[in-house]
Amino acid sequence: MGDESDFSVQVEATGGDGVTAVLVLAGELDAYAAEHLIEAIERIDPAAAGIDLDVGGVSFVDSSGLRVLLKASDRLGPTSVTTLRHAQPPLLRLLELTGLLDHFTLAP
Amino acid sequence: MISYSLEYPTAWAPAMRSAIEGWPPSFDRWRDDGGDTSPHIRGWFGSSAVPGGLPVPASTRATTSMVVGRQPMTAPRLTSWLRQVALPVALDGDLDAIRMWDIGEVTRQFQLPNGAAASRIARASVRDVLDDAGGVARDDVLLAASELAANAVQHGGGPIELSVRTTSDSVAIELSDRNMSRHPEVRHPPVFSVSGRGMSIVDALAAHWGLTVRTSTKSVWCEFPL
Repeated sequence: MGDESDFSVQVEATGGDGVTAVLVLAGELDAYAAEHLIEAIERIDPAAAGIDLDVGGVSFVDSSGLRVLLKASDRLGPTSVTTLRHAQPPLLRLLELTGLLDHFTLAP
Repeated sequence: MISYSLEYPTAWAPAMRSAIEGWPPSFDRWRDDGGDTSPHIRGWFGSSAVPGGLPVPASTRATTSMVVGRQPMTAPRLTSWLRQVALPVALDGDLDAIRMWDIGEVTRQFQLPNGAAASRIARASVRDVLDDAGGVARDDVLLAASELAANAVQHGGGPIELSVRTTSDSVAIELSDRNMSRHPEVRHPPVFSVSGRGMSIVDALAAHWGLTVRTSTKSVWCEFPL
């Protein structure tokens, strides 16, 4: 069971000057998955205009996963926009519980 | 193994906590001749309502404790024991007001790796138990299991064990580790803080949560109605 990671992250665009980085996440986002997501986030160009995370396939998230989403939003500085696209009920619920719903931009 | 919970006035909580932490040898009075009964007492720090009891206003959160033993206990025996052993004389108030109930037995136990995979194995294990029990895997229970497992990895030490306890109308999950010097806290970190949210999530989700201290392990547990 330990080597079964159903989490995946694809970096579709690393972003750049004026260009938004795009990552597609799927699966269960917990401490185990967080290690993979951190690696992907580190590939984002610090000059990127923003980060667009397609989280439509994220079926579970806990505070360890949430922590990495916050790290992603910190990567480009306080004025950048981190967008969560297609957020599903488990993620929305956790954002609500932790008071972080307003910290991200939600997009359909 | 039979477990009982006690509810008592919140004002007693500090003394009860020190009773938990002090772990006096006199707790051995609970020990049955069976050997591994590990009598222990639990603090219920997150309770806003009690199962089978009266709802407790959040503003006057009651604290409850649990005593586990192999023999069934009667309420008078239990309160007598509390009066003699667990509580200082200063707290000898109206112990007859204590309510007691059976919270079920440990259903399944699982060893978890002390690493990043602990949370997902904890979730899979809880899912299995709930499936076997004919229940529906509840998202909140799985999230709490994930948080407690991650905390045990991050703040605990030594082998980590998951216990799942079910009754006809509740499920309790419990994560044990060997770090006796660190207890869980509900923190409300600044909005942008990246850590410290685990127990506040459990506190928000569970009907109760608490801490159990045994001689060489501590456990953090939480309970949900089914």
